[in-house]
Amino acid sequence: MGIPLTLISGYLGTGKTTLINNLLRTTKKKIALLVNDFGDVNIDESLIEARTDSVLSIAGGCVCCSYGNELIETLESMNSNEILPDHIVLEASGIALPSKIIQTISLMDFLSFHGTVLLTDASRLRSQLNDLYISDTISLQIEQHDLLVLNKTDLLKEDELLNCIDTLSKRFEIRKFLKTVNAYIEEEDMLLDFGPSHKINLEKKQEHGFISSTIKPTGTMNAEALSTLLRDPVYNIERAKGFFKNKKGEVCTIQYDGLTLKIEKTEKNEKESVFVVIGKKNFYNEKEFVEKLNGIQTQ
Amino acid sequence: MIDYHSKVTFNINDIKLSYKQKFFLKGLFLLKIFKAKKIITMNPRNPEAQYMSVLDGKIVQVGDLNTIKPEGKYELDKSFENYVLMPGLVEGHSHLFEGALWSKLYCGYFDRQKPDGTMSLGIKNVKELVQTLKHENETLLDPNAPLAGWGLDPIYFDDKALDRKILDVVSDQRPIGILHASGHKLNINSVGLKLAGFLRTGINHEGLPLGEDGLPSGEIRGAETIALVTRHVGLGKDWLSGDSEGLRNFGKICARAGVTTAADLANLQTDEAVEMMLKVTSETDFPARIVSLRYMQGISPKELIPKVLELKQKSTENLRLGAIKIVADGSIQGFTARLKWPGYYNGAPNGMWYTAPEHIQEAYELALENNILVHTHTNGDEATELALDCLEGALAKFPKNDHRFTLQHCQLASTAQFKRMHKLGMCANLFSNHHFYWGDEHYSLTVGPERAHRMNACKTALQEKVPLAIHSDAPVTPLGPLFTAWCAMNRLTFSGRTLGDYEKINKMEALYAITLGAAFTLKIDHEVGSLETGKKADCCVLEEDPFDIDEIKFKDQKILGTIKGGKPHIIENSS
Repeated sequence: MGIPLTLISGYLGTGKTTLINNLLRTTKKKIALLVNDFGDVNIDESLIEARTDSVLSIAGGCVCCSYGNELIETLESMNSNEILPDHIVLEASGIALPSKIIQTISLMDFLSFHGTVLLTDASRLRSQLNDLYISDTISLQIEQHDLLVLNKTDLLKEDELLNCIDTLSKRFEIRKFLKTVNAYIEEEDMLLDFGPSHKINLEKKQEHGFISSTIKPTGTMNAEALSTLLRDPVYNIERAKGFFKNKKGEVCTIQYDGLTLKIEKTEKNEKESVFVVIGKKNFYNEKEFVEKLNGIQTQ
Repeated sequence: MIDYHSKVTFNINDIKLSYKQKFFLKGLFLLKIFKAKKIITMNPRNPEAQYMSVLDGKIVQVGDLNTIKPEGKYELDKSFENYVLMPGLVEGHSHLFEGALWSKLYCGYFDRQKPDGTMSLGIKNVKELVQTLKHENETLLDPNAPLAGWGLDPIYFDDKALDRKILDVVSDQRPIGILHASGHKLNINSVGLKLAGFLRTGINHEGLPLGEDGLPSGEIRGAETIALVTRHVGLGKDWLSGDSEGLRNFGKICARAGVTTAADLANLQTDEAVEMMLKVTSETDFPARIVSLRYMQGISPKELIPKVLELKQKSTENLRLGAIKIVADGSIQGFTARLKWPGYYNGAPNGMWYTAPEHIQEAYELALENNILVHTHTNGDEATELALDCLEGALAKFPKNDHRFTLQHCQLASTAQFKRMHKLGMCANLFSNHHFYWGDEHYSLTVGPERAHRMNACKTALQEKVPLAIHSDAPVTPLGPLFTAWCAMNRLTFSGRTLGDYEKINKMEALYAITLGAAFTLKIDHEVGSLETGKKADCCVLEEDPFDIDEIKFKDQKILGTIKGGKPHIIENSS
């Protein structure tokens, strides 16, 4: 499946580096941390086993690499390392859009993208969302989260915090949400595989000559019937990804790249089924496909 | 009196003698006097003359022979007596890899002069492109070696769109990659795509549009995506950095354009690159002085400042280091610049910041505190506004006169913004060439008629007393300040439309912008930019008097070469 990769994103000062420092101190995994620059990365000197200009090797098997201008080369080097990391944690620059980085990652088949952890600074969120210059950057970043982390909640009074959360939920479609102080979140929450980032697939779908549908079945489905439907040449489906509940009510992942179709049971405890289907414009028969799909669902 | 006979080698600058004393040390410090048909000095106190005396590479005096000739012996150089000398031109915004590009095949629409002076003919349609590539394919001996090209501009082609199958006609064996003139797109053939691992279905990426067959069409969009394929088609990083032959080629291009000082606007200045630049620029036949600015990318302002201060110490007469370049936004034609309301004319979403506003502010503060010059790329008017706000804030904390922070491109600046630039002590280096190459697109697509007329508002800048330079951004457009001056005077687009009659500047203003104006933005106007006592003997050699040439023909005047520090660099086979 490739090396799992989690993207840590968020505007300047939202706590990305603190989060990463926490992770490095406590993890039992062999994590490759990719940071823009070493700047504030704070690793106990006694834990550093080796050091070059751009790589710190840390006791326990973690490495920390500063990628500077060379994100692609640094990512590619992960595949050629003798010891593959268990997980790659990539810290985006404060103004980067997750979607741009995820697109690049999607072209590297040795990587398996797990999700975007997006940090926000509760104490500054309001002013940032109204800032003349950066409000659109902040908004786009938040839109592209898989896990939205509201950090520094201790800096707000209770009613201010409620207000802040209210603003977020009104303005954005929130997938998963945590609030915290000192950028602390559990490692397993951070590194979770959040499933397909629907926002990303839907972005600019027309420009590519593709149509994508996000489908949220409410009932269960026969895996075989779904598989036959996706493969049916009548609908011209190029890709499908996501999860659904099978007849027994078990959560299954589905992956289809136009050739191979994989349906697997997963331990994940998703309440809501969702998958994205992509087909070529003028060929993919969206309406008919969705109708047929509804037909094989049982409530 | 020193005993100079006992010294085998010494540096004449170490010897403290008046220039009159030096004349008497015959044979060692011989005063050289250049005779020209006319010397245009750009010094209003002494606007023109016929003779210029030079010692140690610097100008002693400009005037008539009787007043400037010494009592003792001197050497009279009459090789320019039929030509016109003017101050060596200063290109205030270019990139050294203009020189490195020529190791690959030129595929641009316009005829372009190679560093050796021969002409590379423009490619006008897909058929010609295929022919040129086929010819190159046959000259490459290794059948698997990549064929790389640059400068492609298919927006001028009226025949069918380019896809990988057209390049496959040239070769199904070697990878082929051609970078577009904008640098933001690349065309690749099937072999190249396969090597990069992208010749497959199921790709969903805005940088890799798909063709009818569901496979990537072979057009690659965006710097990030291009970076994934360049090394497979011979356009990898090693091609653009640390190449001494490329820098020598850049020097040749400068001499052909009459340029004696060129700013290299975004260099990461690795140790190897700095070593290479120091070495090549010190070679006696290298014809240009380079002012190289350290690009703030992949490094925090805090870490950058000490590096730049260290680099400043390495500066020489030929290579000036120790200034910073910041890129605030993207490009207008690429829809990545940050525009103020109402945004792009065609409704494209606003561009994104290339550097965080907080980092720009921090860099400005630290640079003011440490007396470091900063040039900031701002194409869109929102980016310009941000830079103004950041500098206003930084100056409140670190008040400083004469910082000369410069906005580069600054294409969409409004009158109100030029007024603020004046108040804050900023300079503008406007992208006058843009009108010719992309003006028609700006009019109909990117910013619409009114703002297309306002773009690169040279006249307004001068009226608002903003120190002005104009530039080519070579290799984005060809290096050539006289052409840039023509653009600023005429404001014609490629199709012949005049954009912004009001913003035209006159010949004297344009000549000032490409000499003293550009030198001022680089803080070297006390050394170059005019021909007067004490300044470097850097000249541009012209066949005719530019003041006699009609403004509309200004770009066609013949340049014979340059003089740098009193040493002529006359170009061979000048066309």
